[in-house]
Amino acid sequence: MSTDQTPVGLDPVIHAQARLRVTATLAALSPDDRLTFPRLQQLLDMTAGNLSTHLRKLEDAGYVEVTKAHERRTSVTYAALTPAGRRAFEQYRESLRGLLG
Amino acid sequence: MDTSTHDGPAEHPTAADALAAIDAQQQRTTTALRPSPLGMFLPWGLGYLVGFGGVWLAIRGVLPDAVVTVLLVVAAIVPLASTGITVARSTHGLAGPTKRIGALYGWAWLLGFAALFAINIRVGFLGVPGPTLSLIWSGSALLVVGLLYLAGGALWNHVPQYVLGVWTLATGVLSVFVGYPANFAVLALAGGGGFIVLGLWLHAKSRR
Repeated sequence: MSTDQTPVGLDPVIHAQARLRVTATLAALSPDDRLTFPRLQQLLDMTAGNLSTHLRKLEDAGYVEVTKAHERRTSVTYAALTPAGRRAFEQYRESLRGLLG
Repeated sequence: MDTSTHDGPAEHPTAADALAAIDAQQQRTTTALRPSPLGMFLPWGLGYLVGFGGVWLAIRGVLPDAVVTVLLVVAAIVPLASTGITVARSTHGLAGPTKRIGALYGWAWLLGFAALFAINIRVGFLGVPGPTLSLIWSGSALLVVGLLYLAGGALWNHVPQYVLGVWTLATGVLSVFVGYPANFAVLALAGGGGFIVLGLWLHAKSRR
């Protein structure tokens, strides 16, 4: 393989162990549903710092939308897949299946 | 199965590993966000069995009324609490349409039963004979429960819940036709049994 570790055709934003798990989790939600940061963290067994880093990369690519809401005087952070993120994830999964033949 | 080699660093999995990780993670997520059938159905089954079975035994003189009153209260409160806790735990941290659908559905139960109590208590004050009133309660309560499980099955595309609704409607009709006081035995055994079988079966299926 070349210097790039990502096989041709695989979305480099999603194709990393941590980010494909984050994306898969959010893609398992119904469209328009969102999950709080702590619950997402719990479902992924990731540290807060680690999850933040990967969410930011997904957010920068336009795949994830992070919103803050104020509920009962506390700030709650929600994460959700954007329509573009959902499409990218489906395409990524198709590419993986294609690679396996 | 996997013919590709692990030539990248750990964070770049092979295609097979990536697909497996996706499937595992999505399975975990859907299971965690779905209320456990044990918490949703089993307590109601036991509640019907103990509560209505207790009333039946009291009518036959086997159990004192005071004991049955306590049993009825426990048989109503424990399943209610279990349902609330199960739903709250599974949907904790979730927001959006799914949560709203669940909340509206939960309110449908509360409103349905509030109306049911208002109607039946009013009918009771009009001087309906006790055994007849008992059959009115049996039939109408199970009609509400059955219809709400039909609605739940339709809302979440969950056929087992829909089947529970059909079973509950049939149990309600049967309880009215067998008459008082055997209606309580039907509610306890057929009603409770349906919940218990469904809860255990769904639980076993989810573990496979």
